[in-house]
Amino acid sequence: MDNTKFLPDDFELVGDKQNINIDEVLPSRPMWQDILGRFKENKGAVIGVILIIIITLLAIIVPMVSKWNYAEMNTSIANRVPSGEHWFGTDYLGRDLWVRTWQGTRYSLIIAVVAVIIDIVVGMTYGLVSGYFGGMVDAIMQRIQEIINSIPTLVVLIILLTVMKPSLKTVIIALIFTEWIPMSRITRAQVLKVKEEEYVLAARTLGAGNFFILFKEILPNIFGQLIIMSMMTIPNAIFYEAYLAFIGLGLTKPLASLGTLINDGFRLFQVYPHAMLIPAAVMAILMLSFNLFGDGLRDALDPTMKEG
Amino acid sequence: MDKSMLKYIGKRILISIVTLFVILSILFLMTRLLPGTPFNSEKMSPEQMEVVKAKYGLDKPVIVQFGNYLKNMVKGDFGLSYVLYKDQGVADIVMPRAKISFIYGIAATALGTIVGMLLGIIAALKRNTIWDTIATIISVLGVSIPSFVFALLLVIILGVKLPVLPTMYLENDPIVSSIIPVVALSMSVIANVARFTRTEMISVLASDYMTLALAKGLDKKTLIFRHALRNALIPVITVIGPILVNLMTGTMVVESICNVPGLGQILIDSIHSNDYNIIMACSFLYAFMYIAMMLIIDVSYGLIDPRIRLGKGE
Repeated sequence: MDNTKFLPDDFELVGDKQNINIDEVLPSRPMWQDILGRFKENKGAVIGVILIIIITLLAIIVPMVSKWNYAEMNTSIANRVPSGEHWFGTDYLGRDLWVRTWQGTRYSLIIAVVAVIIDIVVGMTYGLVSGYFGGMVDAIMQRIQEIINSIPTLVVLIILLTVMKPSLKTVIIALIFTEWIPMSRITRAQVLKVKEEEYVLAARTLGAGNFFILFKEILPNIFGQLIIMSMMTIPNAIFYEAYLAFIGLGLTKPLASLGTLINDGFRLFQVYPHAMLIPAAVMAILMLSFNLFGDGLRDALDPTMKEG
Repeated sequence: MDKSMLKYIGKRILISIVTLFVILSILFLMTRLLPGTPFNSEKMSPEQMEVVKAKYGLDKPVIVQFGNYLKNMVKGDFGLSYVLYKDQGVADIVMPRAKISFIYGIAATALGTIVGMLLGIIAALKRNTIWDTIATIISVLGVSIPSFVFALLLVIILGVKLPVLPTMYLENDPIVSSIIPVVALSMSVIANVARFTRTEMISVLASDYMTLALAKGLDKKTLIFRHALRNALIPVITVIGPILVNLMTGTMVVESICNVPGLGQILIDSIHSNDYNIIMACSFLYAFMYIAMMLIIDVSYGLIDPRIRLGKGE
């Protein structure tokens, strides 16, 4: 090593090269474009959205244009298997299942969306108040929630079942009872995280009131989480609707939801499986699509939360 | 077991008992104060009605009835069935059914956990290969498709189209009859456990101690079985409780589809026929199992993570 001689050519001037890092200039894009870009990369999520759109359109259009009526009975054509005349066959009272399935999807979607919107409002308010005010208020609200939460869903439903008559309203109320708690928990956790941020402190220093801080500072920052949560709740709501129909708390005849269709098909499903399988398949596809959509939305809105 | 842990467990048990009592009172009040009786009122004269009510103790004030009910319940007597099984003891009707439902729930959880863990481990070790994709697809399907749809498909395919399995519960062959419902119930468990195991396993594989173990020259087998698996599976064990709790809701519909004489069927029947004592007993059992499960989950969390039992977890 000591004998090594260095020649002038062994060295070259590095200069300022290392300090000259040319920044890659990305075009400035609004946040929603970023989100959209990330969302589009997720194949599953895009398929989910497309399926949701197709199913929604079918649910809106088919009952309007079909020559069959969802409530029209004709027992002479009862229990037909799918054919050119009746694309999904007919049920045990001879009603066309193509129309009934989409009519049912319509009601299932309406029930799920209405229930989830009310869930968000109730859960969000509860979570906001509990998380933001903290202390005694939080402690009491959390204990109440703890007790409500440890009543199993099934028992809540049974209690409702003994008090109320089956109807659209009952189903929605039952769904609200079971789904608002996770919503309020997420809100509370997010509020606890956000309320210590500097911009909240800044707003308070500038003299903003609690109401202003809650709705103008905190809420917009946790809204993404709530949207994700609600997309994840919709498939749950669709499932519980079917579940309720199965235990006798469904819509009343002749109205149909996916749940009541599945329940009707159940009577004869070993002989005529189509009457139960088709609505069950539509429900499964719908739930799958909403789950894929929700997953994609979560990854797009918050890339840090991505699994694996 | 230090003092704070005992205090924490005591607190949790107290809350559980309060909750059970609240549930029981609400159920009792709801069933007793509502209009309509379990008896066919049109066929009976008011005098006959009085006699029947007196026979079941329904003529006393509600608060006295509730007191009696609680007193008998402690002794294991859940009253008599009014309609479905005339005058039989509810405990005798419900208990054998609860046993079946319970065994199914445990079997489905065990099956689902084992298969789910295997899937998750394979997916994590062979990340971004076809195996990973297959595992992901299975878990997405398992989470999204309700268990009764699986039950339906299995009954139609394995029970009706190619009759290899019975479509209903056979007294003399309980194991074969349990295959369809247990498999159907386990699908969501498989999905959830696989998903969770994969995430845990990936984060463990990326951790510093794995790099250290690798640098120390351990062979792959020891690396995975001794170091990775052990650390990845502890958190997985904690999610099994909540999964089992979720499973309980789905069992009712699966039981109807597979004609299993479990709690689900009798609960639906009793609701439709106002058989109060059976409704009460079934709901109470569900609530009891649910709350006991939550208690076990919370306590085991507390044992694993000291921050929770000291109340600093949030």
